[in-house]
Amino acid sequence: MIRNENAQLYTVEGIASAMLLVLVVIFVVKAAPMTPNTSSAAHQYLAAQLETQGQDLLIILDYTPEGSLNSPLKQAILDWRGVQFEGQSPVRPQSVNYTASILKEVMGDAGIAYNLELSFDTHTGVATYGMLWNGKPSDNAVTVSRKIILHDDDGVVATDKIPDMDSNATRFYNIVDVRLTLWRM
Amino acid sequence: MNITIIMSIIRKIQNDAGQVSLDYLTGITIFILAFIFLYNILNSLLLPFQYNSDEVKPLAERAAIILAESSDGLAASATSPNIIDETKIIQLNSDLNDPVIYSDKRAKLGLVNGNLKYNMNVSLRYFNYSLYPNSSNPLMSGGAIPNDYTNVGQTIRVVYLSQDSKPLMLLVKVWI
Repeated sequence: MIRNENAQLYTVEGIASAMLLVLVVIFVVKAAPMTPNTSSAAHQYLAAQLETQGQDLLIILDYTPEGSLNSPLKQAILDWRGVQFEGQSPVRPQSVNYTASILKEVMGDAGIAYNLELSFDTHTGVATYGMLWNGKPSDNAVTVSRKIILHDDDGVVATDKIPDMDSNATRFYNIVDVRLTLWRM
Repeated sequence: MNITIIMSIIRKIQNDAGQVSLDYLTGITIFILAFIFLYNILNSLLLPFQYNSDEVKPLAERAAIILAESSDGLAASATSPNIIDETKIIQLNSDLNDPVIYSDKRAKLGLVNGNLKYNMNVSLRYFNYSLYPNSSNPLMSGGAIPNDYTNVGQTIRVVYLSQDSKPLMLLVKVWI
């Protein structure tokens, strides 16, 4: 019986095969290319989360605290001088800088890249300008937007970029569609 | 004792037909133990196949929406979502840290469905994940604590604490 070797799996072989199995699975799991841009069911969930956070952020930036005339986002649009700020270049004036610093704190420091664009109607069609620019978004970027209404007496600085769309008939000036594009780096 | 009886006993011992050898048993046991070991060390491996793997995400999302956007939650008023009120936060924090009110509170946030009672944890943090303080304690860190091997649904909402004029993040975790 001891010498009979029929239908046996040796213990050492069992251990060896078990070790191989463990190593192969660990290797496959570690080696699978799960980058932030990998398309998967989990990715759709992450994109939805990113969209929620972006929308939340625009809502917060457009909140007018008690004692303030405008929300920080609206003030930034009013004070904007029509310049696109690339990457980490110094942002001026102060209200635009505030918006930039909030975006950096909430998104940039969490590994999320962002572009902030302003889109509005002009006499020659819709124009879109970058306000804060961090490069070309990846294919699965998320864009959220919020509309800001400007009036004549708000005092828009970049009048050469953002025109008054109804001359002086009413106090209406223009509607700016603020677009925030977010993607994971 | 008769020699023929002894011979028949020896023959019975030598007969190994229809047996599973002990070596094989040992080998297959190690093989199965390897699987159990794998499951334990890489518990996310089988996560997509667990029955509750997907529902905790929308549950966390729903609870977070109620907290961030509704005046029944933390929002200061129904017309200003994401602007949260400090008094409401302090109230929710003490509610979630009281075991009796906790189960009542999670039912109100839609986390009790018949016998299925989901656990939740709500915290208010800076964007570097450190807890927002209220003197020496965190202002909002309430509910149960998930263990390391649970499938947790997590939603982050960006909120604005008007008393401090500061954007913060509201972390809502839900698990079974």
